[in-house]
Amino acid sequence: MRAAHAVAAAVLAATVIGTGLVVRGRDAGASATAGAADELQALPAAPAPALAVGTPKPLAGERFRSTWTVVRRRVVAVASPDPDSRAVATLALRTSEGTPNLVSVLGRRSDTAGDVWVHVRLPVLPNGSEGWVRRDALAAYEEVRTRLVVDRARLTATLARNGRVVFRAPVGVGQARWPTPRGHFTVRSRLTRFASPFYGPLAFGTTARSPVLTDWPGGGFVGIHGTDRPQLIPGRISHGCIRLRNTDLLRLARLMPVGTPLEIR
Amino acid sequence: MNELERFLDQVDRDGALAETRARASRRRFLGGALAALGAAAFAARPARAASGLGANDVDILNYALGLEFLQAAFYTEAEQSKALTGTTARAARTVGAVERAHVTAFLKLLGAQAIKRPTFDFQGVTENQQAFLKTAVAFEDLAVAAYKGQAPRLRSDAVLAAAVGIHSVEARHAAWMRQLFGITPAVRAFDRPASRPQINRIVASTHFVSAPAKMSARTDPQFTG
Amino acid sequence: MAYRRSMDEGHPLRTTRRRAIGRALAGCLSFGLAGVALDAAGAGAGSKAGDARIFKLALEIEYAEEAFYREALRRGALRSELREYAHAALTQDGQHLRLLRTALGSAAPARPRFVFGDKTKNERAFIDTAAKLEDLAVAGYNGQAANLTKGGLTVAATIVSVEARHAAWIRALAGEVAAPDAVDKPITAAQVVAGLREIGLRR
Repeated sequence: MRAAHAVAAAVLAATVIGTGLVVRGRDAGASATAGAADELQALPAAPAPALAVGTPKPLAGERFRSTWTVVRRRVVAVASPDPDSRAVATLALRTSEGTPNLVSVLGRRSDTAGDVWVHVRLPVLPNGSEGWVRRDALAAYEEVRTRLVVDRARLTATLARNGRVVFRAPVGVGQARWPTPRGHFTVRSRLTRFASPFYGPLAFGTTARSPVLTDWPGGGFVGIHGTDRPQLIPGRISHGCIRLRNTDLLRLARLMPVGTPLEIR
Repeated sequence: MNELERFLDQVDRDGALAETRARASRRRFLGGALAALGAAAFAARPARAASGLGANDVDILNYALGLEFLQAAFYTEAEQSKALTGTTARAARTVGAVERAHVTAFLKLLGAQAIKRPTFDFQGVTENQQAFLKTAVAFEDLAVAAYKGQAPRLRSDAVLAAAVGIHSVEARHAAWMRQLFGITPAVRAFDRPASRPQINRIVASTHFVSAPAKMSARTDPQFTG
Repeated sequence: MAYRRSMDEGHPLRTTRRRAIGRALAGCLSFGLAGVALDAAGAGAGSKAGDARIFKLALEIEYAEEAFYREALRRGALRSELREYAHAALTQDGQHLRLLRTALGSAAPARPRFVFGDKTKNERAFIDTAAKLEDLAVAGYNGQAANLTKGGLTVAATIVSVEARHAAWIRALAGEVAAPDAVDKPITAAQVVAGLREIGLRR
């Protein structure tokens, strides 16, 4: 550092020597005291800063936060955070809706080599499947503070944000032979501008699967969508999907981001 | 080699970080588009004169905001991952709250001229204590060098006053993270500034700046109905 | 606690890098100087005379730090990790001191007298005083930022962050929160001198 320091000093010296400073008196040190007060007065106080930084605050409302991400390479999810663990399911890049394959994040752990493994919900049968994938198979984490609960007994859908209910509406659910499955899932896609009025103005894809309609095109996924027969809602009327009246669906769509956890009771 | 480590060569002494880099280089982003989007997030918006702030200072403030977004997101995600323990966890909580407060202050000052909050993909460095500390050291030293490089270019005294008051706090953070990581908190007598191209190159090389996933589509639903 | 990979100047791998650093630092200082020569406008729009005044003030701070750490090490009452800190701070603040003295040349005030008393012997007092002194340095340098020329600010900026690192370091060693605040508030030149007198300056 001596080379740099010498250069810096030389440059700085060149800056100040040009001031024509007069050293008052013999002893520069003593007169520095005498002249000090004047010199200090010549140095104005700092201006008020343009940024007003507020009091730092801890994170809040963590219990209402849910994390999701998408798969960024085809990957096999395994049963435990360990490369030798048994395979549970393959996660493709895209869903059958053509959107990035979303997973809800349940936790993470580092293995002995320092690699991070992420615990995720899997959109596979049996419903409620979970597995672990390497962190590098997943993209950026995103978060939501909303939660959707569909109650099959009461035939209602309720959306909460930060724990507070912001939406409630009646729903249609699956008939007995094509039940809407119980469990924890995620809203994973939003489809719009499609032709069929059967589904209403838009449709949300979820990770919930019909346990009976396994041969259905696309794999038999449960959607949340509208209807051209609103008079049937509330009711047990569908092949497993959650149906809302179109006006209710549009209201929900303004409040519910993709990635929202879905609990079906 | 990742420029983050090149910039902080002292952290890479025993090659431990180089090892992390080797693993990470296998996980290249599949879409170059994402990286480009990320770079756009760090490019200053074309600055119009705001009340009291000239275009030059708006540009520099936005640049600083980008780094504050990065740091705030990093510490926040680390705290939320629950991967940290002990004094490191406590430090992440304290520093995260400060960086979030910085972000809030910048957003308030810049108003409609603020850059958008980017999406960050930290690829596990927020989920493992050692990786967190290495990256925290890098980010804080980077922030110190960035503020130091930009401060003399500011036109407004009031903005300068704000910048120096934050610059020294970032230096405290840098020393703190270094101490937790087990390396010397102050390497040299004179800290070096870094230029914007240098900083941008380093940030881009981490591939942490991402973009939100597009979760909508116009396909016909195939749900069970 | 011995720091692994401590970056002392004598490290064999750093020789070529030191020259590169020297060039880099010279480069940015030349830029600063050019800025001063061509464009006195800009943040602060200071003057060479102003820079000299400010660097005299900065020199008082560095004199105090250097004297404080030197005496603390001489008295030998600190535990090892505090000694290690004091050595690093002494070295670095010493370099600040020499830079400022060289730059000011004959205008540099002579080294003043300090009376630190127990503050360099009692560990708790040492820690408190070190933190106070480093915080004073940060606040003092920050307080002058808008008064400096661009060139002066460039140099001051390379110093103030090191003072801030010292402040966080000593607090961390003491088991305290190393950086509790969101911003470092500035103080005036008069407040710097008052603070130094309180710590032991007897000019």
